Amino acid sequence: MNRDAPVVAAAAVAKEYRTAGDTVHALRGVSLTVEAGRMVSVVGPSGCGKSTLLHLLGGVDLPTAGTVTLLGRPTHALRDAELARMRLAHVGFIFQRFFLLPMLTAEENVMLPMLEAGVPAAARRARAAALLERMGLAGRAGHRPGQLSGGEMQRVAIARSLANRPALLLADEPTGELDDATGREIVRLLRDATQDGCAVVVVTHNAELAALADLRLRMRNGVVV
Amino acid sequence: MASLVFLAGRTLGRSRARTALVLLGLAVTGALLLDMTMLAHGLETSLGAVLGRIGFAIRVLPKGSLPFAGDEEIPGADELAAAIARQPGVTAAVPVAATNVYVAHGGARFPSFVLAVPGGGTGAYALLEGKDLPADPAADGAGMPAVVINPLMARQNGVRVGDTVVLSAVPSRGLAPLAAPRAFRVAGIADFYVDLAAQRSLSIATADLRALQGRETGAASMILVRLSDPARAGTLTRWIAAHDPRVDALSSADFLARLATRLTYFNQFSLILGSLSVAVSFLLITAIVTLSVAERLGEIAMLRAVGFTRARIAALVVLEGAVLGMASVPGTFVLGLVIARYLDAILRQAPGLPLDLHFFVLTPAAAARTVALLTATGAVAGVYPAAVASRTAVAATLHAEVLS
Repeated sequence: MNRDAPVVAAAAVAKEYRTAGDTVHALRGVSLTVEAGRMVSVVGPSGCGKSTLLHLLGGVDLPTAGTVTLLGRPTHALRDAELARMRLAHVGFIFQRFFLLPMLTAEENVMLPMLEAGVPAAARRARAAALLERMGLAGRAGHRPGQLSGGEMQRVAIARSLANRPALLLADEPTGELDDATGREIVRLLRDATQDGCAVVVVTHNAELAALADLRLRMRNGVVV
Repeated sequence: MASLVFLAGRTLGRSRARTALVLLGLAVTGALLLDMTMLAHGLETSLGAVLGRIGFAIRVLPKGSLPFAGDEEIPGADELAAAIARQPGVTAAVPVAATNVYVAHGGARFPSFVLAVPGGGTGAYALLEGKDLPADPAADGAGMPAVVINPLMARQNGVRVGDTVVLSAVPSRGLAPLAAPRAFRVAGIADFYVDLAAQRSLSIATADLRALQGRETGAASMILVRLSDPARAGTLTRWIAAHDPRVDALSSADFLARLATRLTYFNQFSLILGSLSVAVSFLLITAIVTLSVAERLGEIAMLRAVGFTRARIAALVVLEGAVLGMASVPGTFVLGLVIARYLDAILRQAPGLPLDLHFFVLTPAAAARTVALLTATGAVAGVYPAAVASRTAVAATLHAEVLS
């Protein structure tokens, strides 16, 4: 992958939410470009629009104004199903709450995006085993989320996000529920992902994680400051 | 599809106690559905099996009647039977008369149903022990006429092959003169196919019955017709109808159809109760799947973020409903069959029912209909929660989950 090619770009992106009798301006004209193999951190106080920006970059939401271009395609021009297929093939999400399916084992959680993408069973198992090995969880493949620690669950979530070899990895407070030591381990894994050419955008309160990024953005009241 | 089936199956196993309770509830409503499906055509199916066992393809009856349902007879039945026997493909045309007689044996006197046939070998009953009636009773020089009895009479009244019983007619036709009682030799014991519970039955030659009754021969309650090729039944019934307008010629299918018109209340009863059970199953599955979706909105938003389309999420939830419906099938059949057996035993205590008839009959069609209805009900019940799940706003839900 060309390391200078933009994986995702936001141009003057704005997002408004209408509540009863009120309009919340979550983002006000944010612009951002993330190339392959680069890591961008987004920091700022709660409610400043970090997560909203992440959702727009990943195509799970559409901007009220401005354009998000994901792998050369403006997200607002894609139908919902096309966007979903694009996320499946090219975007990996890591959530603060992990969102592992509790009835599946670690291996099955990792295989889930590949199963949905139609990857053959043998290839799924091999890829899941390799990812869990890389995350240091080879011995925990058969365990369910309830049997894992918070750090282990987040590592399973990272493995899941990398399952379909995404071009863009989006992490929303990935260390938010972890202790410092575990958080550092997660930071290292995210940094490793860029070595494979993956563009990484991390929303975080973790200064150590933010400092490791190639580009650090600070947001306040819906704008980059 | 593989991922959806995998996820739907695993979701069911997520809250095992809750799933078990729902499946138990569905088994109860499903059992009612199965029983009503079995009841809807049970009598027809059961009678169809009996008719198949007897082996006569056509029954010729007095117009508008059912077999042995009254005193109607076909005058000149012997001539009609002879005419039918001459038709192509007819291997036997047996005029039979049915009425009741009194039997005296060993100091006891009891009533019995009598099926009078021209002679032995007609196939109107199946011989179990001893010998049949003579093929030509008029030419039989044994002296005492023969009688074949059913196993109940043998068991309850101690009548054995070789015993002598005395038969006397029951006055059933006004002032018709009755002949004197006559002694008969018990030649054999036979299965009469459609015996009622606690019914004693016997068979004698038609000429002997008429002699007992003091009546001329020639009339019969019914003519049983056997064909070399049952597929010719339609052609022959049309010929008989054209040949003698006083009678109805019914193939086994026609006969069952005529019976069905008199059993519409069973269909209505089963339709109403079956519909209620489907409705309860629908509401149960809708409620539980909707509740499950509400609990999993965060996970559903995650699946959408990972790349599941709205349609796939909807399909997943509909599949969960269908899987619930399908998973209830084993419990439905176990419970349904136990209840059906119990209810069948109660209903069969009603007077006037042949022993081999059942109200609740499990046929492949009834089983397939029940499985299909349960599965379809589950799938349709999943539509509303599927709509809720597929409309989940991904970003807002993920945000709300973090805040919660």
